Amino acid sequence: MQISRRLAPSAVLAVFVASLIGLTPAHAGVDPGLCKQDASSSRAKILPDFGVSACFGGSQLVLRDTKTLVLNVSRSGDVGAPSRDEGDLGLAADVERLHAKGNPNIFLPDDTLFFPVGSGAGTVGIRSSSDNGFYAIATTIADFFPGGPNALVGAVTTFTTEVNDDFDQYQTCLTGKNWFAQLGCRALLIRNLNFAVARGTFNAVVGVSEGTVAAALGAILSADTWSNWVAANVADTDASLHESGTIHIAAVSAPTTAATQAPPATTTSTSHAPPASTISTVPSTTSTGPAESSSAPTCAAFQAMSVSQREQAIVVMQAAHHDTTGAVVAYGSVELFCHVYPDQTIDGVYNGSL
Amino acid sequence: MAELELLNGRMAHLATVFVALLLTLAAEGCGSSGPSTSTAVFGGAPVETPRSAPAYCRMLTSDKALLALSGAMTQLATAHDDAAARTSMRAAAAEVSSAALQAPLAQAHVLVRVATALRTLAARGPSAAVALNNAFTHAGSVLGRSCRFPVA
Repeated sequence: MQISRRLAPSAVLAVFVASLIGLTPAHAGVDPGLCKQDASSSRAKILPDFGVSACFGGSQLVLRDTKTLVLNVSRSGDVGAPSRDEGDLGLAADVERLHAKGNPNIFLPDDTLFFPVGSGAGTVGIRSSSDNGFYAIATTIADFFPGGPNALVGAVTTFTTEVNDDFDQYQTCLTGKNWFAQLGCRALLIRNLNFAVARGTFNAVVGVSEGTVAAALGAILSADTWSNWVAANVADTDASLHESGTIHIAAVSAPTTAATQAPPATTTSTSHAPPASTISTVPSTTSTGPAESSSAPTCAAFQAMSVSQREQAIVVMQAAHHDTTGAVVAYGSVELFCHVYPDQTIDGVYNGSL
Repeated sequence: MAELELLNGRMAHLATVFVALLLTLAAEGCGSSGPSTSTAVFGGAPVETPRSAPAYCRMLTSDKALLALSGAMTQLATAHDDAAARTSMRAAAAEVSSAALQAPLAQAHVLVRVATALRTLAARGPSAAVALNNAFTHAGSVLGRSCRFPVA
């Protein structure tokens, strides 16, 4: 009786801690749920402490950024350019994407990347991006504009860039000084941020009140934002340059001939329709009938090809469908299509009814 | 039996308090004579000076208005007409002037310059920040030698 009474608080604490652990959303390392294909391939060496969720399905490597960090991806060998499923459509993510100016290697929280992998060896690596300080500020500012209207994205990006530069200057100003001299740095930071506001990037946007801007400025000048910015700039911790930040993929031991085989003329897919966002880049016109479809390889065959073979298959398919869309766009479309419909032929991307 | 149970309960409570005390002491460095780790600005150097340093140095490190200056600047940034922020800056200027009265000539000179810059900032707002930064930077360098303020 006495013991149980003494243990009760510990038990409550243990349950509380356990519930916190259970609620932690981040998942890193191997996550077979990401793969539509069979994830049992042993070609890819994904360590349990790899920085983000990853899955290798034989011809495609899927990564999902489960962190709150902006990452950069790199690839080498027989690994093609990734297609992307954007998971965060909020203002801060839009601002970061605009700031990154279309950098294909940027990897934002909740993004999923699909890397086509040929039969050769290759690597895919991740590391923390230098944009994390910028993203921390963008996240702070975005909180003041719920809903994130599109008109704001350009203005917030300009403003966030300036604030990020001001923080850089402040950090430089602090270095090598004692506390007394550092008081001047603070004054300079405040002046610079006031200039950023006064330049009117926000005022150009209808509906943003002075009160909102002042509140945003207060949040930017808070201890929390500064510590987040500093932490983001040194956060090369979990997803970093060390060995577990790289996935090594071995070459296939026996070359496959599936890539050159003609696929069946018809398919019996019963897959559900993919979400609209997933097929947003799929061309919906220029279909010329089933006769041409029969010459396209199946997704399985396509994914077994090397990167150069895939590019060739796409060029052939595009020519058959009189599709003048850029090859890179088509490549991404086919990758996404095959991710959703692994048992279709690749020219299913032209079939709007799927 | 009930008394024994009560005694056990008290012993357990005392043990818990003792462990908590040990943990607190361990976290605080086992004593109150350790150096303060407070800073005047975010990410800044500790506000401290050795006990052997001149009195005007210790006046500065214990100057509440000066230590609250960072907060007053933030208030002024978000509300340019904030009277409380301006008052706080003028109070900091007055206390810096008081320290200057006890300082040798070279140190007094730079402190007076800081006090003047603070009053200007209180009057004109953030546009006077460059002059204030210059005054603080120069004063920090001059005072650092005699006050032995740690550097970040």
